[in-house]
Amino acid sequence: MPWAIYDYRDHRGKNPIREWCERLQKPELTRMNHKIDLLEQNGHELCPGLASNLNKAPHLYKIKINGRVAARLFLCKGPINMDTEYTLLLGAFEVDDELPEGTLRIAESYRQEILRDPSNRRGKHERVQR
Amino acid sequence: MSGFNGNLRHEFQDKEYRHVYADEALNAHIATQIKVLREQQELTQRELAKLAGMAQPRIAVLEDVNYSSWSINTLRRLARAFDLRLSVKFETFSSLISELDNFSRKALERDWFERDVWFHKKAVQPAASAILAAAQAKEQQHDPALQIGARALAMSGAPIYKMSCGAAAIAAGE
Repeated sequence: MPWAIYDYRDHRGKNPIREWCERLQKPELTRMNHKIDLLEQNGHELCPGLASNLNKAPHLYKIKINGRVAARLFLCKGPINMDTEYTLLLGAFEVDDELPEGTLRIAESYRQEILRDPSNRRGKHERVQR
Repeated sequence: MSGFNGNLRHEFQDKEYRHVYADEALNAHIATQIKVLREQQELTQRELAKLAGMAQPRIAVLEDVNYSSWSINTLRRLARAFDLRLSVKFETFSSLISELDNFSRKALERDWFERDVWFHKKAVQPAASAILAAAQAKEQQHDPALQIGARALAMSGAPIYKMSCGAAAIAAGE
């Protein structure tokens, strides 16, 4: 059963996930689109390593994109319908295996914002194409 | 699923994009199939590692869609451990679309030799065997001509044995 993929929206209605994806080089963007396709088709459990659980943030998952930069996309299941949806929350770049400070906290705060106001704080995933 | 077909039709016009996407799809396919086959055979990573002559952490690395440094020799060892054959082919990009459409646990499972019905049933009549093989190859495309042929064969009374792959289900009109 296909899953619905959503992007977080900020308080102005902007889509930071789209903006982050637009900063990726073509190979990284391609890998990202492929992984989102896999997620949409089968969820995260069929493909090992597609989206890994985070010990420090139990509601969050991380998609790894390796390439010229270490792009990382943070997402959650649901958070409205846990059986049919994923929401992409925040994109980041790891440097020397370190994420920018506060990345997980910010991603979790975005999840909470969506829970409070799902109709305004997320929208259907906007695929970036080149 | 067909939602991404339209995207890929457009995106694959770009050569770099389609090759990177296909590489990623290959990595995901192999890693996922190793895990699916291991679970189908009810093996732990440690047990599979022993059968393949590898260390358990190596299996964990291979069962990761982010891994990309595959070697034919490693895959051969895994094929032998699973008692399956390894198949490496060059394919069209359009065939990737249907592979992605059908990507699922069921589609990745394979019957190892001991469960490979073809080797453990009485010989099927040559004509039936040929049609069944063709139907099996075309199964996911639901080729109507093959279905008609297989049904006609079934009605003729020729012995057709049920196979787990579903081809015989087409033959029997089920």
